[in-house]
Amino acid sequence: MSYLKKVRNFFTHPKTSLSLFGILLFSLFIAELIPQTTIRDASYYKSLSQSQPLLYTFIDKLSLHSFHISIWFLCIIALLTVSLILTTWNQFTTLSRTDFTTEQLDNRFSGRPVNQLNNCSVEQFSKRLKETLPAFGYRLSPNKCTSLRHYFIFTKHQFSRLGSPLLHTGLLLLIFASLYGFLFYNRGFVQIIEGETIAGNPPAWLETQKGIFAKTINPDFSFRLDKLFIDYWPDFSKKRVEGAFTITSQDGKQTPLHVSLGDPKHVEGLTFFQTIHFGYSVNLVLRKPGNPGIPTSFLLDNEKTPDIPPRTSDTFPLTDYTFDIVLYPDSEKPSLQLDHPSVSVTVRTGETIHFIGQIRPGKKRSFNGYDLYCESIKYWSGVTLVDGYALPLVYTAFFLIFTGITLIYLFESRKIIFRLETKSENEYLWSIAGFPRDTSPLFKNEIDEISHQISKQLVK
Amino acid sequence: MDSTQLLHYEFISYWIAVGIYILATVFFAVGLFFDNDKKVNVGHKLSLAGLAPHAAAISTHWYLSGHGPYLTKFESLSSSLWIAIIFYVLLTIKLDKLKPIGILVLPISFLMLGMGIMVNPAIEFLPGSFQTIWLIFHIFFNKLALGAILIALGCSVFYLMKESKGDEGFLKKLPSLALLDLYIYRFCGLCFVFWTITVIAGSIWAHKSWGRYWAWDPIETWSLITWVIFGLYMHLRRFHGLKEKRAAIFMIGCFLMVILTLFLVPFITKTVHTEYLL
Repeated sequence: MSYLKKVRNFFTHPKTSLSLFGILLFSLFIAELIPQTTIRDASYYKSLSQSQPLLYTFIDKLSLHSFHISIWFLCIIALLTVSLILTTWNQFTTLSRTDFTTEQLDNRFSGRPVNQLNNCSVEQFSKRLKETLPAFGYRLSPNKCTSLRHYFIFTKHQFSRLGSPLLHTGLLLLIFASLYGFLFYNRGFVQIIEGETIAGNPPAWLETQKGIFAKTINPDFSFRLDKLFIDYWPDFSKKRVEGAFTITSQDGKQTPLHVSLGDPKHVEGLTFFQTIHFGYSVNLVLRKPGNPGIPTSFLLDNEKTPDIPPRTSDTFPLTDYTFDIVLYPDSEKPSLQLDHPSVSVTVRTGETIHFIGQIRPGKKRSFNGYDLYCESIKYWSGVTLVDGYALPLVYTAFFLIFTGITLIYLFESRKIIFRLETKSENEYLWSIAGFPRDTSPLFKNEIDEISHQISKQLVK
Repeated sequence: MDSTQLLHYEFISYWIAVGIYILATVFFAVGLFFDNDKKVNVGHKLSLAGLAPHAAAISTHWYLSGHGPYLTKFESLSSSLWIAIIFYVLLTIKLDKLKPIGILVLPISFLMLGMGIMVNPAIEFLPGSFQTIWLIFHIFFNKLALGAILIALGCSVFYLMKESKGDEGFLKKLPSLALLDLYIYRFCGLCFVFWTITVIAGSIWAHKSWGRYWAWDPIETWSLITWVIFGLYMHLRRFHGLKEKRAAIFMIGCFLMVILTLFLVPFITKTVHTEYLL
């Protein structure tokens, strides 16, 4: 046996696939026992490295905290892929082999009960079978004859033999789609304020997931958030979050685009996803009389409950002042009422407070020789942008897996074979066998029933 | 009729359903242990009867919340068990010999239903990211998977009992060991199909909502573990002759994995599913 054939036999052996299943399971259990970087932030691992340095080193060296991108897990997936490719290939080649050899057929009949048939020709016997078997959903396949024996092969649900190769092809496609994502997928997150335009690849663009060979997201168009629409349920949960954008292509053509939760939109190879993250942008200008003003936007996260006002604390650019900002969108309603909101501002340097007061959009307040304007209060919206995902591949994989698994478990492929053996002129022996598992109770019952009916018909 | 009144009737309907299921269990127990077919049949009819107030309660809750019964733990448990019981009732109309499985399906159902009412029966609104057809597929097939695995569990338990005690008492009324073994395989296969659709629909929904199919969220990983275990069972069964007693024990393991994934993991870990399974 050649070396390659040995490798192929190893990877297609049921024990190999079973072992790989076991190893995969074991690795998934590890992933569940050890908190993963996908759900824990860096501070968790920092404190773990301080409290249990040995354990942390072990976890870190083996990448147990991010197992899905660790070398050992990728090796398991690679082995599984090789096994899947070879097994699927084997299954497709077996599929094209539909014929039994006479030797295989005879093996099937060893130890089966034999019935006597007198005064009946082969044609008559064949006619009876053709009358009886269709009632059970069986169709006649090409017969097989030797000098002494006739084989009548009836099949049912033969299409379900496609199930296993389809299922395994689907799984393979899914692995390839994941590999494609691992290499080329790029996912970015951007905070965009109403009225703001984003073009090219701004520094604010946060790449949250980037494949090894993925290109930086750099669209050929710019987009502006015109308005963010928020609808709330009475319990303040979000009923609708929808961003109205304007896309401007390089030739200046403008196209409106509405993106809401769960309804992503594709624009020139890039997909926009509206996220649940949004908040308020308080736009302030600080100016000394006679000098140009310093504009800045303070971004406040939307709170989960209406009784907690959004707040933030940050340094005002080009000054030493720290601004503590609390926004009261509306004292009665949870939604933002642009004609009512007010901003509570505390200006301080360290512990020294310079100003405490309320300010409304379009109004001015003064402190330490500065004029503080509240230009506007707008929404900011979180948008996820995805580049290079293998959507058609994934959908095809899902379709194949579903079809394959349905064919396997809901339609059982069965074959019933009749053997007619010549004993002497006008004297025959006939027997019946099923394939693949005729010991299974339901199939056995069916064979018994068919056998009974054939016997009755032959007596007639 | 105002919503407070409707809510009141909803709870009355729930408790009537729980009461009928308890009564059905009593009839199953008495019928099986005293070898009385009539009482088993009464238990079966009561199971069917219990579905009516249960359905009325689910419909009222649906009307009041404005969305299907799949958001909170209470809704999820209640609708899952309704589907599991209807699955059992319809199946046993066709396969009369499996009626005694009610002795397992009914108590599990009313206990979980009672637990659901105790946990949080409040009405919650449907967040924006949940307004998708893929969520309906995800949840509906998940409930069907639960129904199928409950039947497979019943067959496994009875297989083990019949295997160790023979045709003693009510066990003689059950299908043969070979047939029970086959039913375990078939229902496990059915559960595997439904579980696969659940995972697929869930990942398409995740993609539509968050721009990624899979994030190794604990419940995602656990559902993959469960899927792999089903795959393992199927491979062992088809290629390594896993059957009879060992297959029944393995099947019980599969059931425990399903319960762990559906009802324990969201409670003990922080997952994206915890946010809505209140």
